[in-house]
Amino acid sequence: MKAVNNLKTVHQIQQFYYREARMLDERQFQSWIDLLAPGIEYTMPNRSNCGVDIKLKNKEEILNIDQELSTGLQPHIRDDNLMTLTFRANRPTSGLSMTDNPLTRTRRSISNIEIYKHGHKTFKVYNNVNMSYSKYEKDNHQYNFQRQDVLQVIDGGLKILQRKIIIEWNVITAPTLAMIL
Amino acid sequence: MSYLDEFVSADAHRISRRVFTAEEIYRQEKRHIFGQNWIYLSHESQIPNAGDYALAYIGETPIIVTRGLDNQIHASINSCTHRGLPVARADRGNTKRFICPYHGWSYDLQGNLGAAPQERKLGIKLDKDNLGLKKVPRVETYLGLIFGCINPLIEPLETYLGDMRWYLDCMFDRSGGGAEVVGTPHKWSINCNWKVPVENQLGDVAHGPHLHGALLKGSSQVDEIERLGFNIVPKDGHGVAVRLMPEDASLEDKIFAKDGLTLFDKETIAYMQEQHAEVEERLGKVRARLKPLCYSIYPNLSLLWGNSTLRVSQPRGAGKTEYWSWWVVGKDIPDSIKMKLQKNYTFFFGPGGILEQEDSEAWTQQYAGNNIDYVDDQYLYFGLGEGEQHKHPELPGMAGSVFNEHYVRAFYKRWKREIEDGMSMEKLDPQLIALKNLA
Ligand code: FES
Ligand SMILES: [Fe+2]
Repeated sequence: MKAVNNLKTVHQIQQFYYREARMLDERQFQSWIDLLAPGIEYTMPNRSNCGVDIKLKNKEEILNIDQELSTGLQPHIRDDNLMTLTFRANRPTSGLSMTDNPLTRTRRSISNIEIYKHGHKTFKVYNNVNMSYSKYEKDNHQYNFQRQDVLQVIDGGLKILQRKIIIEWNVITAPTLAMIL
Repeated sequence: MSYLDEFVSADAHRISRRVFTAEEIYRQEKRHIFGQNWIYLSHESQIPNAGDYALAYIGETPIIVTRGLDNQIHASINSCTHRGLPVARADRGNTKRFICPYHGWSYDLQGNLGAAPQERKLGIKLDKDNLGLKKVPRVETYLGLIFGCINPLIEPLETYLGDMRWYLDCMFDRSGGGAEVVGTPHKWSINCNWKVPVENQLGDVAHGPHLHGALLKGSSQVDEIERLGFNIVPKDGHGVAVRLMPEDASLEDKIFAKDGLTLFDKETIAYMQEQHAEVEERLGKVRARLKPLCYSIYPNLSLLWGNSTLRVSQPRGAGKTEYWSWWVVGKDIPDSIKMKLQKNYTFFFGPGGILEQEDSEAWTQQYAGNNIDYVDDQYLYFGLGEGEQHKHPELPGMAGSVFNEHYVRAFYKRWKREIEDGMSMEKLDPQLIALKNLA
């Protein structure tokens, strides 16, 4: 993979992520949908409590992350497309969503942004998210995850074409992973 | 008067909040409920080959389920006889032996102690017959579902399930290939009592358009279940909610997958219509127009039929549950359709599920509401629909409307009886006194 060194592009992509984070923290979920490419693939694999394959001993591969993640027919925790993300985005505004009334409070910090050339008008971007989540009076939780994104330039603007969210938990100890992450 | 009258009234209309919060009650449940009943461990498709294993729990007791080199299924307690460490530590795997990480004792797939490295160093022979992993004395399967029981004298699994089998077949015997469970479980912890998720999936249809109003209010599926649905108690403690489609309903209205995200998916609907003749041949005319919704099998296994998920409510204390949830699907179904059906699981249920998030939060809040000692004298009301249930000409078990809570009354009557019977047999146990003091 070839790193993107053009500082203007790097700056634009960083700003894209900061804006996205603020948008989600300010609960502009419907506006967030506009950041998605029509063919968006949005996944969060299940991360198993995984033993090592002893046949790979003394190779770095023995520790690789992919072996822990759900693939193929194994169910991910999230497997969304534009339609299902739109359902999720519209839910809080319906006024009928019990998990959004009272309101959920979040704060996201984005870091470790790494940008690589991908295909035609696309970039592969790694980034980490730290999110503080607060509900009711003191139901406070800390979320931490990596995003492996593919951004696409459409009509001069950046859109999310792929997002794969990597979590560390095997047993999820936060209230839910159903929100937009 | 019996021990638990102060917790569950004789008609089970009134149930004490302490049933969901008291550690003393929970300690009794571990012995007399989890120690005495068939508990779901795994599905045969999770351990298809000799040497395969998967981790499971009976209550809080960690279990290794294996397929031995003899191709039989075995279950042992996952704890080394030397100092007690778990010997199998990954969710799943394939191995010839489990080697304890601490001092290297190794156990075969049936749990027998193979070797301890210290034997040679000391020039001794250990009494291996008495140093194997403790076995789960009874392991039986029904249509690939593997259950284990700590009580060696329990009735056979098929008797235990009773008429619940008739309903289980709708998922696990729908086509020649049966059903398979794919991948490792989704797991998450919920601050609630373990019985609360079970109760929900015994037949709590009523909460749908309220708790899940953002998605389900006014939906055609809610309308269908309210019009054509029944809450069934096939045997006390088990429960199912089903829709029985009218005989003259269109083929499309009777098939599997006419629900959720596949409601209008042409490829899936066409496939299910084609398959329906086989379904009718295997399950008969009545079950060919049966569309179940949710199941629970006493004490802690549940299934959502249309959303293709099996789940176990693993207790972790009176106020803590670890929910394990798997995707289950007809084995013969082509992969492209399986993937579409899978979204009916992950979009709605599991830790990222749009409905599950509301259930998990409601169950957490139920715990908070039950854990208020000032209202210990104000019992919860479980009496909805009393007396309205009846024998149905086509559906085995007692049938009530979808708002009839008879399923949960039957559950708690059984639960109360089992704890009382267990306690009577342990009359001199000091824990009994603790419970009495609490009452
Ligand atoms: S604790 Fe298992 S070998 Fe010592
Ligand atoms: Fe629900």
